[in-house]
Amino acid sequence: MPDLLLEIGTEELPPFDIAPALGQLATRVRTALNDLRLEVGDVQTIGTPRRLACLCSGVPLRQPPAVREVRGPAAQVAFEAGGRPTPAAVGFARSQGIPVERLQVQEVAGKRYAVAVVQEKGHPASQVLPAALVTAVLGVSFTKTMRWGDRDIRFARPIRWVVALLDKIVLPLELAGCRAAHVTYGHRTLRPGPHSVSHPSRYETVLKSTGIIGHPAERRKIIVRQVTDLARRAGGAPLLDAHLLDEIVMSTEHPQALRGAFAVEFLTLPRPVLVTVMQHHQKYFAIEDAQHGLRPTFIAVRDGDTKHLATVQQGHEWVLQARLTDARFFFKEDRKQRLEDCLPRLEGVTFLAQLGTMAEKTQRLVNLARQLSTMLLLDGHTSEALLRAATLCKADLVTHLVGEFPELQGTMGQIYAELDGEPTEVARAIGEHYRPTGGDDSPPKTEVGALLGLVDKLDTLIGALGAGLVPSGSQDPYGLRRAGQGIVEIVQMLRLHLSVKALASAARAGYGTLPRSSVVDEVADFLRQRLRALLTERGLRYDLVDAALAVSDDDLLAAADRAAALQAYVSRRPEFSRLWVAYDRASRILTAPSSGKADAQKFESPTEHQLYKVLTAVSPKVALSVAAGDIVKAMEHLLPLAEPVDRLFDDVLIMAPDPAVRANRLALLRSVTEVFRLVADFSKVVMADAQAPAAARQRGTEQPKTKKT
Amino acid sequence: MTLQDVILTLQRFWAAQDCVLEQPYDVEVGAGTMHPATFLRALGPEPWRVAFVQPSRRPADGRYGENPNRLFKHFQYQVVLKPSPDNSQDLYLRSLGQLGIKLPEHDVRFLEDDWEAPTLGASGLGWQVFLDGQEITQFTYFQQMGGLETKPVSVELTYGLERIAMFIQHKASVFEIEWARGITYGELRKQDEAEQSAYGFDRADVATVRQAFTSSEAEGLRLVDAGLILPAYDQVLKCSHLFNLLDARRALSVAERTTLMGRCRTLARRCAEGYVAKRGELGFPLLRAAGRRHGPKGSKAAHA
Repeated sequence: MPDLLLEIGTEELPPFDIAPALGQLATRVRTALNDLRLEVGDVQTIGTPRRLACLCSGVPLRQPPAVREVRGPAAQVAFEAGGRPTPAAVGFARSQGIPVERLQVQEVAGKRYAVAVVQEKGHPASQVLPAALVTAVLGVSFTKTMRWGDRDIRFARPIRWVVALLDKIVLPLELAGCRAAHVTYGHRTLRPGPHSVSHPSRYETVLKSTGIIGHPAERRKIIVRQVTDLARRAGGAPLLDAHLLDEIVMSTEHPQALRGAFAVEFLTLPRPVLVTVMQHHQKYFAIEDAQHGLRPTFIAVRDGDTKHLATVQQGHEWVLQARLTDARFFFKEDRKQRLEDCLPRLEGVTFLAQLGTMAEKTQRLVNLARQLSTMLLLDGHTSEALLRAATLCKADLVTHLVGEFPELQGTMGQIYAELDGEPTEVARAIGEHYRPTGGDDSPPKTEVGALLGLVDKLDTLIGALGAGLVPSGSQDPYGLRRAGQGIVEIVQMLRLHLSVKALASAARAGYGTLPRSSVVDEVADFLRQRLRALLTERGLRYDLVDAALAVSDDDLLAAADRAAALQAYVSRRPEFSRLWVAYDRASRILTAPSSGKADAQKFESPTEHQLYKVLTAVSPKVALSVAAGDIVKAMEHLLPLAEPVDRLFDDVLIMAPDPAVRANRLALLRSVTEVFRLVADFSKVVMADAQAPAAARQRGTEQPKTKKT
Repeated sequence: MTLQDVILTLQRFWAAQDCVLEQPYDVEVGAGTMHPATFLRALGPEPWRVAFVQPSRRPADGRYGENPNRLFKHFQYQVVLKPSPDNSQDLYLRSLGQLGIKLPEHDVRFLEDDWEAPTLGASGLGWQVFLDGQEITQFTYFQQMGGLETKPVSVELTYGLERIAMFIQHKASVFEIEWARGITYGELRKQDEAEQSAYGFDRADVATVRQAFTSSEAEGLRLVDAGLILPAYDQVLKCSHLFNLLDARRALSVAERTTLMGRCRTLARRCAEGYVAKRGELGFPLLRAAGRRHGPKGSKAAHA
């Protein structure tokens, strides 16, 4: 069976759009073929900055014929009593392209309908593919799309040529004014072409011969090998930054690494500055020696071959030299004053859109840090370090180097604070308070850094949510989810039993124009959601997390501890099931809200007395264990309640005819559930199987499993 | 190749591509994009091809002539092709060849860059073009101008003349560039750099400049209401430059900064709308000119 090749030639695509686009292209082409009843074998993609290609093997030449049954109007509407077709039947038959006498009557779900049985001929693949492929390509989504020339269609960058081959046949399709042909274009400078592709099976060979390494994985291998070799020969190893590597893989068609050098004197610059200049700005790999010291060399990756590498190397060296000279100039300028001296200029730096200046933010952070110190009863030394770090943490935003390299915020603050002789924990806290800065980053490592991070992130959340900047879907331009995750991680790392609402209220009070008061609850909810996401990501069952969150109010650490304990305890199935059943039975019967305590004088049966006795004995123990943070122990204390609860249900009628007796029994059961709820809201737990027979029976009436109702 | 040879070469190259050789605009601008031959001509349906040098003032980038890479005023070579032709990139690369840059001997890269000018309500997608690691050109397909969707889409090529000259002449400092034979960039420009930096950073009288902004804005609004679009647009440029000056002088509070930018953008948008309407009333004269220049086959045949 024939092969299919579709190549979309473009101007340079944004590197981080290419892999997702290839994935979509493969899926969309496969789906398009399936929808056309063209069963296809292997679908693979090839992609470079200037082409998105899709190769399918084993595409049938022709669609198989198909029979399609379409249900029309009800039989009594379609035909008169004598069987004559009504206008409704005639219209339906016409819409399906068959004569009315070919309509059949079929029974569907107990009703009779007019049904059109339509025979569909199979069309040649070359006839049905073009339109489907155009739709498949234009449906690929990108981070941003654009228009060009006088065309209306949108794509990530302009489309310049299209190859569409079914074996040797050029499929008659047109994309953005480009008629498909059997002509592709090679590497810009090596062998630009045009080059003819006679058959899809020749495509990769043609690409190779024109200097294109089509598979991203192959380019990656080549780059890693060349870069590692060159670094080794310079006596070191490359810093293979994953983001940089991805970017280079997707911005070259024929990668060729080359090594250059810079003057040793620049090694006196702080390492993060050197790495940032090389990695982020010049897209070079830095090299370090066995002792993790930087070498005065770099590796650039050119898109081209090995010819004239010396010229290219010279160019890169010269640019880097200029960049480093700039950086050194900025560094020296910054060092003419202390970090502290930068503070007044924070007046001129905006925080988030409508939330004032960084000077105002700094003032809020200092106040909030002071309040946090009191709440946590921090010792004098730690508290002092936290206040100092809060004062200085944003000062580097107005330094020359951060102005030039914004990604060095925090890092430069730490370096300058160290050079100013600030205490180590102050400097480190400044350096790490923005963490986590990415999905794979961890929270601050030091106590002061973590506390500062907590205060900073909470201030941001209050301000942003208060201004209505709520992240939605994949849109989170202010990194609020990451900030929330940071808070949740910090609380667990430092084991802070903290009322989030109390701290959030303090943070809200720091804003000159107060955000609306509901923002405190919104932030608490937002953080609970982040905790839920984080814990389930770590593999905790969502229902256990919910059971824990439901009874932990705004103490995030308590919720996390409860969830972890539930997860550990739930594996001890029999015990957990017994607890769950007891809670389930007790809570289920408590339909109406009521208050009041059970009165032992009014008990009528020994089982009531028995349960009351056990309850009175275990309640303080459970409360004590919960307070001590030992949730597993608390659950063990609950266990003796299971049996008397069960017995009570078996022995007496809870809903006794005498209202006083009934109320007393309900009050007893309410006290039981209250003790349970010190540990978790067991009603949130999903018990999957028959381990809980009583409950399963009760549930059976509420949530029938059979479909036919 | 001297700096002026670079300019002459580009002028000849783009003239041969049917570009009108415009002259630098005579109101202060921060970039060639703000020249009416770019900003206004990119609006509406009229085809347009233009090339010119534009001295561009950026008060905050001044360094008193002491930094080898930073300038208060730099020179852009600006090309606008509307609609963007299918061979935009090829034309650009050929122009580099004309400058003696043999592409197979170098590393030319088109690296993603999205462009936005909030004071003009303008945005576009394209690349920064790098030559052996040095950014030499900004290559942009305009998507919006003055808040209006562009149709057709123009492509804008902005050559950084100093960067290119430094590359060709192997100079480490912009001031060492040979402008004409025997005369350096520094000899011609250094005094201006030092004095303009001192003015922008230290001496500009904030109250006067602020007052000038308000006057220009009022004048602009009055003129746009009177249907005098080009004079009104001059006031947009003045506002934009005065804003930059206040910014360099660090005279703007955060709130004021946002407000002034918004006021600038509003005026720019009104000029853009007024321009399109006015061109419509005039019957889009350049549509006719395009027919005359390229014959019945249209521009495509002329550039194939």
